[in-house]
Amino acid sequence: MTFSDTKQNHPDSHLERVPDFGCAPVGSDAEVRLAEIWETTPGWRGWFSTVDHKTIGLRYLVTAFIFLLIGGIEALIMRAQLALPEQSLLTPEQYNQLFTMHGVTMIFLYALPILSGFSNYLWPLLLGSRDMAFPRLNALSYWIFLFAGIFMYASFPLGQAPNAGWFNYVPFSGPIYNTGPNIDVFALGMVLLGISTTVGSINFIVSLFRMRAPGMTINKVPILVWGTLTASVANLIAIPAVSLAFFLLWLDRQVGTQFFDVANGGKPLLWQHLFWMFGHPWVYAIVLPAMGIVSDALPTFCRRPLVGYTAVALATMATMLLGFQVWIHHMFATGLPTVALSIFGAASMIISIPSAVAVFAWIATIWLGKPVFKTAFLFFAGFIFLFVVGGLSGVMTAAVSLDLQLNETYFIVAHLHYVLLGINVFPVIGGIYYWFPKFTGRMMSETLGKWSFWVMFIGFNIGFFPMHIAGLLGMPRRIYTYSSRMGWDSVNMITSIGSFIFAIGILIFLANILISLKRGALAGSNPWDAATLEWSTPSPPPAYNFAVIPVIASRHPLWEDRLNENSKRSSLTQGYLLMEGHETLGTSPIDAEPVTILKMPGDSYAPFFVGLFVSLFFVGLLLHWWYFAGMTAAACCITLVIWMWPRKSLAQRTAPKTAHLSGRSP
Amino acid sequence: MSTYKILLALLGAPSAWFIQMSLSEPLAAYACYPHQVPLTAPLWVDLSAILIAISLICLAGGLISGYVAWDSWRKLTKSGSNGKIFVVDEGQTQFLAMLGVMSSFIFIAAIVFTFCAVLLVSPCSAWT
Repeated sequence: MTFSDTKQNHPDSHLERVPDFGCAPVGSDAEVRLAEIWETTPGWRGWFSTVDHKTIGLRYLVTAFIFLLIGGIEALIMRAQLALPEQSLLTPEQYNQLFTMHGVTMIFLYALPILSGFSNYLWPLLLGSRDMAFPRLNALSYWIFLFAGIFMYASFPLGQAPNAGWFNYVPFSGPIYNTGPNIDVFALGMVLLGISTTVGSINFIVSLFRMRAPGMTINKVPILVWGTLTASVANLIAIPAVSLAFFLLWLDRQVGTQFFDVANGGKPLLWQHLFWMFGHPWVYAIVLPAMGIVSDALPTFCRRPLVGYTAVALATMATMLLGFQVWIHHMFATGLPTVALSIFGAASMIISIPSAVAVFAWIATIWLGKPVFKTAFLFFAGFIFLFVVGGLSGVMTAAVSLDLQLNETYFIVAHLHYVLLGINVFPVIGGIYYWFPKFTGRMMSETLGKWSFWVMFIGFNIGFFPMHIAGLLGMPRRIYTYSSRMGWDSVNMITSIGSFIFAIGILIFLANILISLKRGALAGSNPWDAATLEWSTPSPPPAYNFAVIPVIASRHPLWEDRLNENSKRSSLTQGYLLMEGHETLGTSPIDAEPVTILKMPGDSYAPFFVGLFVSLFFVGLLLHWWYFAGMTAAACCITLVIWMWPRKSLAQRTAPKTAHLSGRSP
Repeated sequence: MSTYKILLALLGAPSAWFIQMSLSEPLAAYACYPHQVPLTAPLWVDLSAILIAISLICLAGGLISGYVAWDSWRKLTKSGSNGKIFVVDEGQTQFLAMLGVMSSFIFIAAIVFTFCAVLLVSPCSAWT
């Protein structure tokens, strides 16, 4: 009665091999051999060629955090400008570029990439695998993300940065009203970034369905995995819409097409539809994996499993699916017919059901558990509060008539910051406190951690709550200054003070990281006494992750004796020995039965060079260097051929069923 | 339990809601704003009836999916409570059936909500 999986083809019976089942303790010949096979070459060669998911994950985390800091500095400059009425610290054009780059940076260069960092680092460790399904694609995804970020910032020092807001509405962003290169940089940069996100998403989806440890059936995967999977599927569907929108806009601007030019039969609303068909699912893509971080890490500090695992997994997927049919709530003021708006208003309100399910599950986990008030717990608990506040203002704006009043005011700015900072930044920083010992082998300071939480939490609420009031007082968003007669002075001053307090909290967090990297207490493999698989590996984990591929019997492999849910126990020290090259086990999608030995590719320069050439191709398009663009496209194709060149050593070995059966009873 | 039943339980109600949205929104929008100028009355006299029919059909689809999900879940839990010796699986089938029940509940609620919007708001009215 087992749910049937896809049957495997056996292309070549000579490839069959029965993997050994045994153990490889630290220091044994087998373990030493594994380390030699998987470790990256030291020095610059290894730096450019590594495909280790942990290195890539950490690079994502560091790069995205640098973008967060850049976006944060932009925000502080804007708050300095708005602290008092009629200030002239910034010109209107500078302000336009600052708020645009702030949005672009936070939404596209920080919010999703930081979650990709967590997922890249953690997925194989959570799933019991030695790497992601496509290690080189993983490296390519990072390099393109990095180059896209540099690309989008390249025009900033020249005063030619994108300046039409992160959703870049036409006709203002069209060729008539925006004649500089500002929008072209944004348009091409977004298409480039879309490639990174797409290949990354494919990697996550395939990894989940092919790379789980034997026994980790679909009902045993951590919620973070559900969150990232859902976001990845959504990205694959949503990214084409925005890539198309930006490509059409670039054609309008550079080739003379008129997709968005109303004077020539174009449709400005087409931009809004294409952008928000992407934009709203994207908003969920940048919060659902963060909610997954909380769902997985919070139970550790409550000393009990998550309440309502199935309900939270379903809530994650349902939120995303509902998120695909609510994009018009960003367009309530565009004059669309009323019943059409009402349909989308109703759909937007429905999202409160799965959101509430998740919130009640977290609260019940805390209520029924024995909370340990560590820094990470504080960030997760703070997140729940901010999520509720942001969610409530979201339900309010789902009502069309109220949204018409609040549209384009600071109320919306308050809502989106509660949602994005509250549901992304707080879980992310809590997640860093939680997994820092795994990343580095050292603990972070709890004293500094608690200071950073309280300063951030207080600063955040002082900074962003008054924005609701500013909005209700009628203050429009995206104005570079205001008159003192408008009555907005106090709320703006309070907001600016709060934003600087929040920034101090971030600085304390950064100081904690730097100090802990040098002087933090050494962490064992499981310093929090957590339940999930990544904590069974040393801190930091070795290059091969698991000396043997474990066999999993429950959702909480490290708490099985304590929970005693059934008589089965996971086998973590004994498992499949795979050491004839870069090997890991491929399993079936639902039942996680071993079906094949996956021969994984090793380190390679190809992802770096493909990323570089693709990015240079976009530089060529931006600068109209057509020959240069052609040459880089050709170079990219040649590198891809080298990358894809078939090799016998990468042929997959099928693991016969007998191996699995004998292996399940260690 | 057959794969088709599981898929129907999991995806039936979400698909019905998706179809309801994907048909109702463009029809309602086009009927009131077909070209350059908004209309005070819909292009088709029967617009409300069409939208209600779409919602009812989708609601029926959602309910069928919900019934299949509930039935599957009930049978699976029954087989467990009878204390039979054989192992069904590692719980993944029950998990998928439970997901189907929950997913059907949420998306049937979504269909009803959307139906309410169709019933309560006159097609081409202004927000006044």
